[in-house]
Amino acid sequence: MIFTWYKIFNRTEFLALNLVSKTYTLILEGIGEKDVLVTYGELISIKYEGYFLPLKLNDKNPFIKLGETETELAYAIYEDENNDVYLGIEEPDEN
Amino acid sequence: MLGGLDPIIIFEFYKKIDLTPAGPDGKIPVAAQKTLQFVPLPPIPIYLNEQLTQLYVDKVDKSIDIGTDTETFINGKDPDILQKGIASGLSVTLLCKKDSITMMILSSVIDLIYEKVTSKEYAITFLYGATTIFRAVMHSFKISQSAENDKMEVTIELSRGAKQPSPTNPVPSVPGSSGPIPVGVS
Repeated sequence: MIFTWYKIFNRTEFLALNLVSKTYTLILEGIGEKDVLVTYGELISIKYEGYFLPLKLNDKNPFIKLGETETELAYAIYEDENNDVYLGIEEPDEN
Repeated sequence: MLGGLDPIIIFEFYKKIDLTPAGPDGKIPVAAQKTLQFVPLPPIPIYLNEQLTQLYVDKVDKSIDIGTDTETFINGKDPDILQKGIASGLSVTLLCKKDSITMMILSSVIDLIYEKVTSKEYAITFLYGATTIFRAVMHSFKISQSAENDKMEVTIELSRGAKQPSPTNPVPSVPGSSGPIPVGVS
């Protein structure tokens, strides 16, 4: 499954803010300006376009939320070795 | 005399309150950013009246400073005038006796302001007839006295500041990278 990845925030920097949640407003290439809500609960999670993506849920990195219908895209969240957290949006199948 | 005819200087102080709905390590996700609010404290007015407070306004200067650059062109066209605001402020010179209690209060209030300059938890309003400045910031404060007499001269410089500075952050642009995981990550 191929995703387009966008770096949203750095987990270390976010935790240093001591915030329970923060909205990042970013211009995502090819999509436009979007709000991404980052929340700090049991896990760090992001909410994008109504989809809730917990980071490393069940120790899965990337954690992928599959689309519920054939036309619905999958979304993913991934943390790299630098603690940068990425949002992944499935690239639509052109076939 | 207090019906608005006397000059008055009003000191306003604020307390910055954190209204974020959870503690620093709260575990409950709340859809809110850190919320700070300025809560005003009761203002401190000081009338500048010789009979009432032994403070006498000797002189008030209002000044606006504008930086002007003139740009001339190699082709001889009319020059461009570029202007930029530098400062807009008020200089108040007060006279009083060395034993003036109000002067001691004024000086103490100025000391309080000094601690709150960076946090912006204060504002000063000065009213003197047509010369007024609302919610100004302190630019300088000076007291000079001489051994020859019992007169003190106080100079307060106020500057028109940003009332509620709200920096505009440009929205950062994030490039996308394609792949099963982000490119460049093993």
